[in-house]
Amino acid sequence: MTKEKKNLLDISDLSKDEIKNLVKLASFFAEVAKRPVPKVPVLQAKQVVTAFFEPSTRTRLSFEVAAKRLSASVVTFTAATSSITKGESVKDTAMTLKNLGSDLLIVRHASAGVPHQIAKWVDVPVVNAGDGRHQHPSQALLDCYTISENFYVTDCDFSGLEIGIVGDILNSRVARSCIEAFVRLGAKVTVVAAPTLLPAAEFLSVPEGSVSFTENLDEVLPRLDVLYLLRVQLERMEKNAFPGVREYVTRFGLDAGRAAVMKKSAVIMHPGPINRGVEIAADVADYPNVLIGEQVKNGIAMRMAIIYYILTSRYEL
Amino acid sequence: MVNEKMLKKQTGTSKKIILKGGKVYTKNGFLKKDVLMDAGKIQAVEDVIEAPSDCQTFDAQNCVAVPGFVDLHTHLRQPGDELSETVLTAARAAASGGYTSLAAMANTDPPTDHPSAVLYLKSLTESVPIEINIAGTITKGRRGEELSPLAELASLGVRIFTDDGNGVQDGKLMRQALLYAKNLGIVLAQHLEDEHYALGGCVNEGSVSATLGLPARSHLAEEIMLGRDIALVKDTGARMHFMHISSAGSVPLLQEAKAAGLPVTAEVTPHHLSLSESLIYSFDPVYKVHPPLRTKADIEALRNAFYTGVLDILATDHAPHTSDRKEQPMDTASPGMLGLQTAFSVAYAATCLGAEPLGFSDLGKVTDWTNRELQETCYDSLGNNAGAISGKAPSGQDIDYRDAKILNDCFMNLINKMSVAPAGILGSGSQGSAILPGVTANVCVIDLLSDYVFTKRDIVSKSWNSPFTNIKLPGVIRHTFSDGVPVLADGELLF
Repeated sequence: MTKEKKNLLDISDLSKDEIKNLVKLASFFAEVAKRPVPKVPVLQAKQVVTAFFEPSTRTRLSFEVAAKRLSASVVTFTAATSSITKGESVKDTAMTLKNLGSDLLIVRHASAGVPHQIAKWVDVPVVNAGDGRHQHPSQALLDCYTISENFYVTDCDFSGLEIGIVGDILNSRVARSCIEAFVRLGAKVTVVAAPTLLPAAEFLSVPEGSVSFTENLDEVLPRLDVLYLLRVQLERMEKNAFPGVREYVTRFGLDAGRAAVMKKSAVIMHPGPINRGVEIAADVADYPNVLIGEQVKNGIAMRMAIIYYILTSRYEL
Repeated sequence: MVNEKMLKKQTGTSKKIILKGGKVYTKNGFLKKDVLMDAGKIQAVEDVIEAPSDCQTFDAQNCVAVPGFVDLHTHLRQPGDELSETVLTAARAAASGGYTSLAAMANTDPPTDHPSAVLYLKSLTESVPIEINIAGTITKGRRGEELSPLAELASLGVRIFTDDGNGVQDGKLMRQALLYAKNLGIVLAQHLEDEHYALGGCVNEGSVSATLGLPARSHLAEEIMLGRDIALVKDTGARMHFMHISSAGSVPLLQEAKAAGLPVTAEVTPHHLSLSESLIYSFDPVYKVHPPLRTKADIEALRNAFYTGVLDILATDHAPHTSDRKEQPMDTASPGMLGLQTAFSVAYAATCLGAEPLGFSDLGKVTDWTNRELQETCYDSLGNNAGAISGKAPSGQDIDYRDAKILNDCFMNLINKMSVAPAGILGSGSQGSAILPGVTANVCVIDLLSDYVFTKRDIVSKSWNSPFTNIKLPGVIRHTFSDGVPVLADGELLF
C-alpha cells in the first residue's frame, strides 16, 4: 500500500482484491465481538470523528462502536447541534474538525460529493458514510460480507448467486454502491423498479449486460438467492415518482404470499430503516431468513475493518 | 491607474494611433493594412501609413485587427455584489479579452427594473473606458409576476431586457411582454429553463447525474421553453433573443423557426462549446453552471449550428462568484463561470481548431487546445481569398478544419459572431463595424499564432471561478482600443 492518504469515497475506489481482504478482515473482527472484552488495542493513539451533516441512527452508531472496539477515541459531530446552524460552511467545519486533532473523518452529507470535496480540503483520510443519492460504500461492503457469511462463499466469489434489488434505485445511494459491488464480485443482479424510480439503464455505471431490469417482481422472486429491499422514501411520492403507498405495496411490497414463493435458501436484506407495511409486510420483517439484524451486527465488524485498513500501514492489502 | 477615457473627456484630446503591419478586417475581408485612429474614429486604412510625429505606434505584425468584441451577456454584479465583481473589474476583464462593449445583466441587487436603478448603474459605467449597455428586467424584481416599465426604461436607452438567472415561467405573461415590447425597438432575451424540469438540479440529466445521484436539470427544460417561446414569437411577431443554448435538441427548433422567417436570434457560450458534463465527476463546483454542461454530442451539435448560422452569436455569460459561494456542496454552490478574458481563445479553439472538449480525464494536467498547423493555416488563409467568405459546410457533417477555405470561413464566422452580429442585435451604431475610415475606433488586435497557459494568476476579474485555468489556449489579445483610446496595450491593461 502506498504512503498516500487513503480514503474510502466510492465503492469503485476498491479493487476486487481489496473487497475480498476487507471481508476477510471483517470476519476476523467479528470474532473479537465474541470475546469477553470485545476490544483490540490497535488504535489507542488515534482519534476518529464522525461528521454527520445528515441524520443517521445505525451508520453513525456503527462507526462509533467500531472505532471504540479498536480503542480509538471518538469525537461526534452532529450538524443539528453545531455551528452549521449559525451558517458555518462545510469547508470551515471540516477544517475545524481536522484541527481538533482528528486522524480520520467519517462524513455523511445530504449532498453528493461532499466527502470527496472534504477529502480535497483536508489532509486527513475521509470515509464516505453516505453522500446524497450517490454512494454508501461501507453499506455495500457490510452487505458483501453478510452475503459471504450466509452462503459460505469463499473468496467473495458471488457467481451463481442472483440478487434482486427492489425499490427506489434512482434516489438510493445504497443501490448505487451495492449494484457495483455485487456485479464486481460476479453476482447476477436484477433490478426491480418502475421506470420513474430508475435512472435510464444505459446511465448506470456497470458493464453492459451485467444488470437486468424488470418491473415484474413476481416473475423474478422464485429465482432469487437474495432479495434486497430498499427503503421507500415516502417524501418522493409528492413528486409523483409513484402513485401511492397502496400501489407500491401491490406491485413491489414483500408480503407473506410473495415470501412463500421464494427459494428455501433465499434470504431477505434491507439497509434500514424499514417501513413495515410498505416495502416489507410487518410480520415478514421478522421471518428468520430476514438478515436485517445480521447486517447491523456485521456492520460493526466491517467498519472496524475499514477504519483499521485506513489508519494502519501494517495491514497490507 | 490612469483612466484614459476620463482623461480624454477632461482634456478633449486623444493621441493619434497607428496600427502597423496587421491583417485588418475590412468590408472586403482581411487585408494587410495600416490603420490610423484619431478623435475616436478610424481615420485611414491604407497599405502603408507614415507615422505622424505626434502619434503612438502599435505593432500588429503577425496579428489580425478586428472590430472590438461585443458581449450580450455579462454579469457585472454591481450593484449589490461588489465582492465578486464590479463595473470596473468586469470592464478590465473585458478589455483583456478584446471586448469593447458589454451588456450588463439585470440580476443585480436591486435589479434594473426601475429607472432609478438604471440611472444609478449608468452613473457607475461612465467611469470605465468601454461601452456598457444596461439590460433591464422583463418583470419587476425578476419575479415573473408583473411587467417592468419597459417603455420608460427603453427611453433611458435600455435596448435589451431579460430576467436572466431565471426564465419567465408564465407563458401568458411572456406573451404580454412580447406584445407590449413589439413596437418599442427593444429585444427581449430569455433564459431558457422551464423550472419544472430544472429547479433544484445542478447537472445535466444523463449518465453523470445517474452515476453521481446529483439532482438534474434536463435538456427538456430548455427545449420545452424554447418551443413555447417560438410559438409566442410566431403569434406576436415580436423580436426575441434566446440565451445560452446548450442542448442539441434546441438546434432543429431554432432552425425551423428561422426557416419560417421568425425574428429570433440565439447565443451560445464558450463553455457550452468546449466543456463536457463529465467534468462534474470532479465534484468541483467551478463546473456548475445554468444551463448545465452537457454531453459531447451536444457540443458537436452546437459547434455545427454555430458554423451553419443556426446560432447567431457567441456570448460569455460571464458570471463571477466569490470562493465561499463556490466552495460548497454541489447542491448549494452558486452556478456560473468567468468567461470574458478567455472567450476568444476558447471559441477559437472550439470552432476553428476543432479542440477536443475538456472532460474529467483531462483534469490534473495542462490540456493543450492549440494547434500550430491549423493556426498557421488559418492566419495564412486570411486575406488570400478576401471577399470569398460565404462558403458554408453542409449541416450535420463534421467540419473539416484542415481545409484552408473552411478554416477561413470558420474564423470569419467567429469574428462576425463575437462583434458584428451581437452589435446588430443591440442596434449599436458604434460597435461591430468593419474597420474603415469614419467608423468609431473600437478595435481588437489578436496574435493568432501565439499561445498561453491560462492560470489563476492571470485572472483580472475579482473572482477566480474560471473553468479554463491550466489549459494552453491559442491566440493572444495584444491590444484593445475603445473609442479610439488604447485600453489594453501589448497585453497590459491601461486602466
